[in-house]
Amino acid sequence: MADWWTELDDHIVEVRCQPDGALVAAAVASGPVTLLDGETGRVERVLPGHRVGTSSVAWHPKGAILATAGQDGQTRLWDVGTGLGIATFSSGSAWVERLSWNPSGSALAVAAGRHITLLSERGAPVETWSNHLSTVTDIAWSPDGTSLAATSYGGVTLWVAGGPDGRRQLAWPGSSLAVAWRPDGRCLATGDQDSTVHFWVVEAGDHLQMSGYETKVRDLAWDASGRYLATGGGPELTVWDCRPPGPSGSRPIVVTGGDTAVTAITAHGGYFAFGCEAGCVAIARAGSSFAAGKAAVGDGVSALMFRDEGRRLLVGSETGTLMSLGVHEPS
Amino acid sequence: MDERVPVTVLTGFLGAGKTTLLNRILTKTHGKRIAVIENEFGEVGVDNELVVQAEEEIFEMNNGCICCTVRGDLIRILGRLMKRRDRFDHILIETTGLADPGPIAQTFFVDDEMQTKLRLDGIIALVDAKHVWQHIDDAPEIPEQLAFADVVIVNKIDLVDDADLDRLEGRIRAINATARIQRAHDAIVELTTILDVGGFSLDRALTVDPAFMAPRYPFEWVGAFDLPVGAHVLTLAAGPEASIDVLTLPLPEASESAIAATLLPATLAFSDEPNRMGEGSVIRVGDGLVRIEVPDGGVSVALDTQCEGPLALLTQHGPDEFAMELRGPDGPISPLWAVDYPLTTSTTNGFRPSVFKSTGRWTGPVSTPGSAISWQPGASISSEAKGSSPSRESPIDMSFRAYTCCLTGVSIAHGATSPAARRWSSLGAISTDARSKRDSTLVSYEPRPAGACPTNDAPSRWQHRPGG
Repeated sequence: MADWWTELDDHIVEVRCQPDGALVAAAVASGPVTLLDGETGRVERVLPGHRVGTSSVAWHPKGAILATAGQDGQTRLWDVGTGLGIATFSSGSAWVERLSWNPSGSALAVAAGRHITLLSERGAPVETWSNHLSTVTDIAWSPDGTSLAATSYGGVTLWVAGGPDGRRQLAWPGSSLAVAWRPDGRCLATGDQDSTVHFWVVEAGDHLQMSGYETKVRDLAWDASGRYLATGGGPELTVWDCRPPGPSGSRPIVVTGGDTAVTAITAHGGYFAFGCEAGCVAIARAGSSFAAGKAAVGDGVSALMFRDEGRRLLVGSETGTLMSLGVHEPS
Repeated sequence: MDERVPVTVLTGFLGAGKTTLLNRILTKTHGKRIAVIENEFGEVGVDNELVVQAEEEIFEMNNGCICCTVRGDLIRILGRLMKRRDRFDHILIETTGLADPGPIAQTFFVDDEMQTKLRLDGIIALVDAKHVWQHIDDAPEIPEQLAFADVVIVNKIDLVDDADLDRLEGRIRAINATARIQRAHDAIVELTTILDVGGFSLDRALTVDPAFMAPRYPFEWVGAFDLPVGAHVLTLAAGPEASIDVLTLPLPEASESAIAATLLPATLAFSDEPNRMGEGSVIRVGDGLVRIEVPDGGVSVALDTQCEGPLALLTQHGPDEFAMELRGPDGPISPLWAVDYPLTTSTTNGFRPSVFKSTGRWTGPVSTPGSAISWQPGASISSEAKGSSPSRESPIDMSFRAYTCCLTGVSIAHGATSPAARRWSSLGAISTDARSKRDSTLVSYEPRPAGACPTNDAPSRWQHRPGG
C-alpha cells in the first residue's frame, strides 16, 4: 500500500527524485513545480515554474539545483535550498521540449524547437546545436557523458560537445519520439511515431526496426544489465531480449498489465514498472518468467519513477494524485 | 456519446479574411472555451482564450503502408493542450494561406493519440469573392482548400455583383460538390454554422462502400455459405500458383452487410503467418489463415464447421483459377452470396502487420546471458500476478487504422498525379454519392506515386503477389 499520497490537482507532467532521494520534484501542466519530502510526501516548497505550463524538470547531479523548462520557451535554474531562481535562459522557441544534465553536471542540454543549447552549471549558454530536421522530441546523454543523442524527424542526431566534427546522423526516414541509451553506451533505442522501435548500434550505425506495435511508441527503458528493452506502444509492456543472438526475428516478451495503453515506463536494476491509461501500475521483473505484480492507483498514470534503491515507486496521475508505493517481496 | 474535443480547421488563401473571422469568433459571447492554434503571428489579441503558435512542420509517415503526411507540430501542441486542467469546448486551428489541409486532416486519423482525444469537426475555407480569381488557376492551394472544405465561406461579397458570385459558386461546386457554401460580408457568420459542423467522422469514414475499396484487399474472392455442422470437403485443382491462402470466418448472417463487416478483420488476418495445409488436412472454421499447398494433381482438405451458422470463405486467388469446389454430404454447395475483389497492379500498399516483426539484423553488442541482474528484492505491489502472454489480439481501433491506410491507397490507385483541381473533380466522378465523395477527398490528397511508397521492409506477401 501507499507510503503516502498527495493531491496536486493538475495533470502531473513529470516526477523526478533528487539524486540523494531526499526531495521529489513534481511538475504539473499548468506550471507550478512542487518539491516534496520523499519519505513523508510533505510539501516543502512550490516553485512557480513556467507561465503557460512546465514541460520538463531535471535535477543537477549534485542535487542543489533544479532546472525547469516550459511552454514559455524559457529554462530556469532554481536553488532548491532558498526556492529562488538563479538563472533564466530564453530559447527563442515557442516552448522547451526537454532538459538533461550531463552526468558530471557541467552542462545542461536544452532542447527547444530545432535547436539544442548547452548551458553551463550557472545557466549561461555555451554552445548551440542547430539544423535538426524537425523539432527535437527527446534528448539523452550517453552514459559516459561524451555525446548527446537527439531524436527528431529523420532519426537520431549524435552530438559531441566541443568537437570539430561534432555531429553524426543515424538516419532513418521517420519520426523518432523518444530515445534511451543502453547502459553500456554501445547502442541506443528509439520509440517512433509510426508504431515501431529502432535499435541503433552506435559505432557501426546499423539499425534494426521492430514493428507490430498498436500505437506510436513514446516510452522505453533498458534494464540495468542492458539485456532487456521495455517498450510501450500499446496495452502491454513489450520487452525485447538482446542476449545472443540479439532480438532480430525474435518474438518479444509481452507483459500484460491493464487493458489500456501503457503511458509511462521506468526501470531500476532488473525491474520495470509501467503505468497505464486506466490507472493501473505493474512491476515486471526481468528474467525468464517475467512475473508481474500490479496495483490500481486510480486515474491515468502520467509519471513514474523508482526511488530508494528500487524499494519505492513514485506514481503521478493525470488528475494530480502523487503517491509513493512500497515495492515488497511477495510473502 | 463522443466525448472527444471537436477541432475546426480554418483555411483560406492570403487575405481571405481568416484573421477577421477568428477575431469575431474569439470576441463574441458564446459561452464556449476555445483554444486557438495559429500558424503565423496574427493580429489575435484576446486574453480569455488560449492562443498558441505553431511552426508548420509536415513530415511523412513511414508506416510501412501509409504514405501520408502529418503535422508534427500539431501533434505536440494538441497533446500538451489536452493535458491542461481547463478543458476546452472547441479547438480552432488557423492555417497559413498556403497550407495544404491534407496533412492536417490526416493528423487526426493517423496519430492514435489525436484519434482518441480529438474529433476533426470540420474544415472551413474562406474565399475572397473578388480576388480569388487572380489565384484560383495558378495557386494549387486554393482548389485543395476548397476540395477539403465542409463549409466554404465566400467573403467580401460587397465587392462583387451577383453574377460574379454565381459564377464563383459554380466554380466552387465543380471542385467540391458537397460543401455548404455561405456568403458573408466582412466575415460575419453565425458561429453555429462553422463550429459543430460534424463534417469529418470516423464512423462515416467506415461506411464507405466496400466495393469502392475493392482493389486494396489481400484476397480476391469472398463467399458466404450456410453449412450444417460437420465435415465438408474443399477441393482445389492445380492453378497458377503452387498454393492458395484461405481464411474462414463465422458470420452472424449470410448477408452483404455481414460480409462487409468481415473485410477489416479478414484483411488483418491475411497479414498473419498462415498455417500450412495439404492433402487430408482439416480446416477448422475461424482458426485463422491457412495456406493450402496445391500439387499438380489437386488437393482435398476437410472443412470442419464447429458450430452452426453461416460462414465466410475468403480466398487469396479467384476460386475459378483453382476450380475450387465445396462439397457437403449431398454434393456441391454454392455460396449464398459471393463477391470478387480483383487485384489491381498497384499492390505496393501492405497493411501494418499485427504481429511483431523485425527488419535488419542485430549486429550489436550482446550482454552475457544472466549477467548482472543484481537487484533482488523480488516483486509484487499487490496480489494479482500475471505471466507473459505472447498471444495478441487485433483490437477494433487497429482495424480502423488499417482501413485508413486502405483509404489512402485509393488516390494512388486512381493515379493522383494530375493537377490538384482535376484530381478532385475526377475523384468526384468515381463516386457521385455525396458521402463517398467527401470521404475520398478526405484521404486522397496524397499524390505520391505508388513506386515511391515506402513499403514495410519485412518480408511481406504483399510484395510477392503477382499483379493483375
